[in-house]
Parts: sequence; C-alpha cells; structure tokens
Amino acid sequence: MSGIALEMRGITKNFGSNHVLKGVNLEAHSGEILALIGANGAGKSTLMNILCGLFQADDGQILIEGKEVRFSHPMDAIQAGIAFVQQEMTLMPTMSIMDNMFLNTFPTKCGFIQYGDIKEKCRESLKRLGCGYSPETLVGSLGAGDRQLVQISRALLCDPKIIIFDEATSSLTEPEKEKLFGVIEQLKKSGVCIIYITHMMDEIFSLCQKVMVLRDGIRAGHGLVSETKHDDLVQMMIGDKASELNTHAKKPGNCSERVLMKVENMSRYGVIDHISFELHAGEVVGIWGLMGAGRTETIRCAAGIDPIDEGDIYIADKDGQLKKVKSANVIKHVALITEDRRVDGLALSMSVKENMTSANIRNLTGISKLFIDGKRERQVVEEQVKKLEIKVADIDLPISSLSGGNQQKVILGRWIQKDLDVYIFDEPTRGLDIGAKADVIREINALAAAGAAVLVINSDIDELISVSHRYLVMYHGRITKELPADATKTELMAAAMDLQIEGVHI
Amino acid sequence: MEKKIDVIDTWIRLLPLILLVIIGAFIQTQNQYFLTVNNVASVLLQASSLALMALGMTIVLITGGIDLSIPPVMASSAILGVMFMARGGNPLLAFFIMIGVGAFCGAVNGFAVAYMHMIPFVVTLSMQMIAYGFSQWITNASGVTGVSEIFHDVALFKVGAFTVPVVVVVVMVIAVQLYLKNTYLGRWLFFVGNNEKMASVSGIPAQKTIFSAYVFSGLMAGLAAVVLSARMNSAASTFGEDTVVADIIAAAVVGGASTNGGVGTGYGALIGALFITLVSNVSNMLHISYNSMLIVKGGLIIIFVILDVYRQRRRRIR
Repeated sequence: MSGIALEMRGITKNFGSNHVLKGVNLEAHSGEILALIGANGAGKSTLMNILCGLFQADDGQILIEGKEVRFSHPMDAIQAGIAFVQQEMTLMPTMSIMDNMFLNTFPTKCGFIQYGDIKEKCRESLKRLGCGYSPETLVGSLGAGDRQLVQISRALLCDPKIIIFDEATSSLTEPEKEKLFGVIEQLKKSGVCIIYITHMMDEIFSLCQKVMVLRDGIRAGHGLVSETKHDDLVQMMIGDKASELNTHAKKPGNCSERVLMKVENMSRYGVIDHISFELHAGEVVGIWGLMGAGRTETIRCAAGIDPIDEGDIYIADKDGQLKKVKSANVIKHVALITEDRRVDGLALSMSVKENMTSANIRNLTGISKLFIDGKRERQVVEEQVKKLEIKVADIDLPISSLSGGNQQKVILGRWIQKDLDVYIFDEPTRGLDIGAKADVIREINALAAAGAAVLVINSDIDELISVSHRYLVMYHGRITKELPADATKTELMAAAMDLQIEGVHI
Repeated sequence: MEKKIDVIDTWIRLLPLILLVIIGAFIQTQNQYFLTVNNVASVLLQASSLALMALGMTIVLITGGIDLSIPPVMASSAILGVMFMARGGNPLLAFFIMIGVGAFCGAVNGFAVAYMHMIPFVVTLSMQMIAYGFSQWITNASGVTGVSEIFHDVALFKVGAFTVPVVVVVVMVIAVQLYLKNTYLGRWLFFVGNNEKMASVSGIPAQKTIFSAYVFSGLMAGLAAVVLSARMNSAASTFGEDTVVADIIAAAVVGGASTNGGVGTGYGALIGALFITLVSNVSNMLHISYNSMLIVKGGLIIIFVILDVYRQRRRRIR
C-alpha cells in the first residue's frame, strides 16, 4: 500500500442552524477502496460535495498528497485530480457517448471540435472498461449499467487520483454489478484512491479494504474491513444503545382486525416490485428503509398518484366491505401528504382557505351542487385552524405567508375535514420545528386512536418508532420484512440493509 | 401575520380600470359625443366579439395554457355558417354550426393538451395554421356573403339602446365571473393553473379540467363568429388575421389574467377588450398608422406581463 492520497481534517459544515458536519476527519490511501457508510442524513453527501468543490466547508482542511488545497469551484477539484461518479444519471440521453464524455472538455482547434481525436480517445477508454459500443451510440439507448460505465469513463478522462462512487450499484443488475466491480478493482490496482459510498453491506465486505462510518455529522468509527463485523457497523451507524430505551414507552395501540385498505402484488416496473400489505383500523404502520429503497414510490402508487403496472388496491367502504378501486380513483378515498409540500402539496399563490379545502371543495357546495357555499367553507376552515392550532391572521392570505409548520398543518386539515379512513403520510415532519413536529405526531396518534389507519414514512428513526405500531421494511423496491411494534433500532437498521443479525442484544 | 391591504397590489389590479377611464376621458375631450348612450352602445358592440374571445383566452390562461388558434377558428366557424346560410340553410342551424365548429376545434386542442400532454403553444399554433389555411382555401381568400336577414336582425336586435351581442357579453361576463369565483369547477381551474401536481394530489381531475377550458375557448370563438358575421353581414378569412390574436392576448393580460396561469377574472377580460378597442379607436382618430399601433399593443402586452410577474413575485415573497 502506498501513501496517503487524501486527508480531510476537522471538516465542519452548517446549513443555518443545522450542523451537518461536526469536525469530520477522513484519510484515504492510494490503491485502496474506502467504504463510506452512514444512515440517511448522516452527512455523507455533504462531505463528498465539499471534497468535490460543490460546497465550501465552514472549517477544516483538505490535503491532497500532503499539500493543502482549497476548492471554490467544482472545476478546481477536477483539476486537483478528484472525480465524482454520481448516483443519479447526469448524462444527456439524446446525445452520443462521446458528446457526453467530453461535455465540458471538448478539445478544439480554432473553435471547432476535433471529432476525429475524441472518437479515438473515447473508443479507447470504453474498451478499457470492457465496453464495445461505438462512440456515436446515443446514451439514451444504453442500459443503466452501460450508462454508469460511460459516467466512469468520463470521470477517468482527466486522469484522476481520487474517484468517488456514490451508490454506484443502486440501479444495476447483478451482471452489471460484477462488471463494475471488475472495473473498480482494476482502478485500484492502477493506484487510484477510491471512496465508495454504499448502503450494501455485502459490497463493503467483498470490495473494500477500509471502512468509515458517519453518524450525525461525526466519524462514528473507522478501520480495516477485515477486522470489522457486520454488527459493529450497524451499531456505529445507529449510535449508543441508551437512547433506545425511552422509545419503548409506547403503548401497543388499539388496533382492530378490521382491514381498511389492502394492496395486493402492486408493481411499477423498475421501481417497486410486488408490494402487498394491509392496513387495519386504529394502527399506524411505519414504512422503513434506506434512501432509494422505494418507500416514497410505494405510497405514491398506493395512493393512486403514480400509475401502477400490476396489482390491485382495495379500500373498505362505509359498511367495512373491501372494494377494489381503480388506481386513478384511490386518491378520492385516501388522504395523502407528499414528501415535498412545495412541489405537489400546495398551490403557493392561492389562499390558506383555498389550499385547505382543495380536496373537499366539491362537497362544500350549496343546494345547487355547483356553487360553493362560502359560509360553510369558511366554517370548515376555521374549525380546522382552531383544532390544529394553525397560526394565521386571516384565512384569505396566501399560503406562502405561513411558516412551514403551519403550511403542513393546513395540508393535514385538508384531509382531516374529509373524515377519511386511510391516511398516507410521506415525511410529514420534515423540515418542521420541534413544536410543529410534536403537533403533527400528536395528530397522527389521534387519527389512529379515532379508528383510522395511518401509513407513514419517516426517515428519522426515533420519530418513526415513536408513532408506529408495526413496520414494513423495504429493500430494493420490495417489502422484505415486517417487524412488530417492539422492534429495536438495531433490528430496523439491520432489516433495512437486508441483514440477518443474530445475537445482537440490547 | 396582521391583515394589511397591499397598496401596490391594489393599484396594479385597478390599473386597467384607471387606464380605461383615462383613455375614455381623453376621447371625450376630442369628441364631445363620445359619452352618449348611442356611441357607448356602438363601442360596446364593436368590442363584443373581442370580449367574448378574451373570455375564452382568460379561462385557458388560468389553467396555465394559451390558445393561439382562437381567431382563425372564429373565422372558419363564421365562414362555414355563412356559406350554409347562403345556400338557403336555416339561420338557427347556422348559429349552431358556428358554435359547434368552435367547440370542435377547442376539443381537439384540449384533447392534445390535456390527454396527450402536448405543449399548448405548439398545439394551438398548429390549430391556428390549420384553421387559417382552411378558411383561406374554402373562400379562395375572399369574403363570403349571404348572411340571412333573420340571422342578421336577430343577432343585432336592439334591447333598449343596446344590441343583443352587448347583452350576451354582459351575461357571459357575469356567468364566467360566477363560475370562476363561486363554483367548485371554477376553483379547480385555478388549482390546475397554479400547481397541476398539487391538484392531482388533491384528487382534482386535472385533465378533464384542462380539456374543458379549451372547449370553452372554442365555444367563445364560435359565439364571436356569430356576432362578427352578423355585424359585417359577411365572413372572411381576414377575421382570423395574425394580429387579432395579439388583441385577444392583450385584452386578457390587460384585464389581469396571468400568462403564468392561476390568475384571471371575467370582468377583467371585458375591461381589457374595451381598453384595446378604445386604443384602436384613438389611433384612428389621431390618424396613427395601423402598423405603429401594433408596436403600441405589443408593448402593452409586455408591460402588463412584467407587472404580473412583479405582482406574483411580491405575493410569494411576502
């Protein structure tokens, strides 16, 4: 093993009052693969974005081969020999492989692109990765694995000393993965330093030599992979066991056997695979999984917002009989809070009142069934404002004038007024202050206590544990495990990574 | 958090009305007969077809789209109706032909935009070319005459000082205003125009709502065809000239409709149409050339779009 290729010392980064990185150290050597792991929101992406010059650290140093460097722009990092192979595909599908590869580095003569040269170069570097395509092939016609290889060969163009792979295998098939691992091994042998971000435990053990765990913006552990066990990594990712104790105070809830919603073999090709579950009256079901496991996709399909390719959705009618409902009509029977309220939760330039009654306005009409009963609409809105303690001076003000917490409560009120049986919430507390968070969680509990069924995604494991009566754990687009209310954080985390952990005792 | 009347916002909203008063007052100083009942009635009649088309445009703009095909669709409807009457067809049936052709073209636009997810600009621009080409081809690029007397007399029947089209416009403006502000279907139009994704998540049938807007726009084009062919006692492809669409957009935008979607009123479309009509009248009075008037109208659209963007931004930041 050769010397230290990269050293990051005391990297600190705050976004407002949110301390994302708290003095993180990282060392990586040439000819070595370092696995970087951590739960959602641990700070992996932020750390890597700082290394690539996308963000600037508030404090700390970056040393490359012992010399301190400062990146104020991604181009600086590229010139320093750092390449980033991103998780999302950043290629242009309607352009050729060579256009994509040379996107920002076209060699030109008198302003004209030297296509002859780059075609040769492109063919060479594709061959190096075992890829036989013509450089003129459109990227859009390639499969996910080959696109990933194109991204890698683009990264290799500037002869990097350090390559970062972010969830490189998340969209690849098994043979594509094998091919990619071969390429990474080869890069390692040629003396490149590789940082490999992943959620897959088996990849760490089969591919990487060293591992570093981030948790809540600190380095929770690091060392040689050969001296580390699965369980150790899981423990490092979720932190001290003591904090788990208080989350068990939750009561079992008054779940009944009555099924309010049933999803059977629901698939959306390439996204989610044969999802089946039932929701009972009076229970809160938490969906748990890592980023990209298909949680959001599952509930969007279940709520009928995204189309499904296969499967059936049943919803109980007023007599408790399960009735099959067409995907497009499901949203009329369930409440849905989406992940990002600014994208599809609110009509930002419309009023608080209008936003609150958007899903119910058809029912707030007078005798004519066409004209809105203005008085009744105000009444309904004011009732919810009072019930949910929404801070708003005037319900005719635009919704954009409210704080995030109050906006989220308006969306809650939108559904609660419909008095539905099934509530589906995606990250209902994200970005809210502590007070609003508590209010929303209280409301979730109240809905279940009143006999509704609630399906909730929450990436904050403590919050999820504090509301859920049952967990559906997702991995790679499938529900791989169902855990009871008393599941521990360790069990949840292990299940999310599809591990069978034995002998972990809390 | 306190309730405050936004002064700038109010002024911008009142601006079209203020401009209308100013331009009216100016004409009055030039021509003392301007503000007589008869003259006002004739200006209203003159503005009526534009007002109807601006109503249709406003509804489409509210959904976040645009309908560039209105004028040639109106011309084609008028031509087909008049040709039908010239061959001895029933005037009532001719009326329904005009309305029907408009609604049909609107339905094609609406289907392409709502269900095929095509871009409104491209869809309606194509429809504009198709309808204009059709109207030129079927008339050999000249006018067609033969409006039946009954059609003409009924369409221009006087109710007091005002003709039927003026009454129809007033009724339509009130109806559209009520529809937009007081019915759940009208509310849906605003949701779709503001945030189509949010509308879908709220269970609003976004596609049907968008489709209906284009059908309505086509209907208004048909109604405008009835009014214009009766007034002109003929029909011609020139009804659908390129510059008419600029008048319609100008009327809608001056009337407060937003090209970004989600904003618009029925009465705004009427005020805008009156304003644009008076601007044309002033230019005639002052012997300003038709072409330089185009520059003024184009400038007006830009100014009002800028004001609208400014207004939206203030609303969001607050």
